[in-house]
Amino acid sequence: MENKIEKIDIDYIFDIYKELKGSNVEVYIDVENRKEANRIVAFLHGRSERKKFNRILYEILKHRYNDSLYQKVKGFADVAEMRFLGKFFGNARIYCKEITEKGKKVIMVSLLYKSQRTIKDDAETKTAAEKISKLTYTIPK
Amino acid sequence: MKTAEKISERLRFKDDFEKIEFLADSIQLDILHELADNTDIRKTDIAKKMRVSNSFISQLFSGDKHLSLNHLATLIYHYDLDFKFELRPKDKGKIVRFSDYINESKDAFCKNAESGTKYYASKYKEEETRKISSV
Repeated sequence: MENKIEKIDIDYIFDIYKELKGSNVEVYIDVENRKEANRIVAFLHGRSERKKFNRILYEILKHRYNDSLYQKVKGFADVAEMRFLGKFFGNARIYCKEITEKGKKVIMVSLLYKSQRTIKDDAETKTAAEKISKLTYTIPK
Repeated sequence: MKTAEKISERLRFKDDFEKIEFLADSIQLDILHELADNTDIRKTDIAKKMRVSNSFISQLFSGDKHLSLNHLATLIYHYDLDFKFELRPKDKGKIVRFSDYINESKDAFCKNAESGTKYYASKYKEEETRKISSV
């Protein structure tokens, strides 16, 4: 069964960088699990979190990876994590599925993990990545 | 309100100050990527040269700490880098130079050199003022 998704409007970034509109990247959120989606919404309430999320979006729109912000999970070609490192952010990670189809790249924001454990704790990351990797979506045209 | 709408609402810049902050962050990321992606320089080496900790470098790459001109100069100096910087109005089509006016109506200019100079100089000044105010 496919999960319900909603597209996140990121036009406010294109108002500053018009050329990024041509990057063919779209960002969606998985809203199948309302509770999980609401956790992500609540997490983005803080100013620092919003600022960092926008920096991550900039990296994504530039098709770049950066191990301090947005990095693919080792062993998973289609799963990446948005990294909110440091005690302030509680080492939070938002796991995303990367889907490439018909010349466009889709970032599916799916799961939020927050723990005081270090980012090197692979077990938690692997569990999240396995879960995300199995999810299927239909991207609207 | 849909979940995605709530997120967009939160992420959207609230004022010019937030837009400028984002602009600063993105410029920093571009500079650091230019350095990390186009050279063989490692982050640990950068930390040594800049005499800062590895975690400080990670914070620079995440945008949590700001890259100073001093940091940049340190990197340029130690790694013998070529640094090019370009700043220009976004709308290139509207750049107007004094010489363009002269070429535009050379004949009119030649007819009355003195008044022509005054006229074109004032037009140029007008255009410059407009460009500065639009930035």
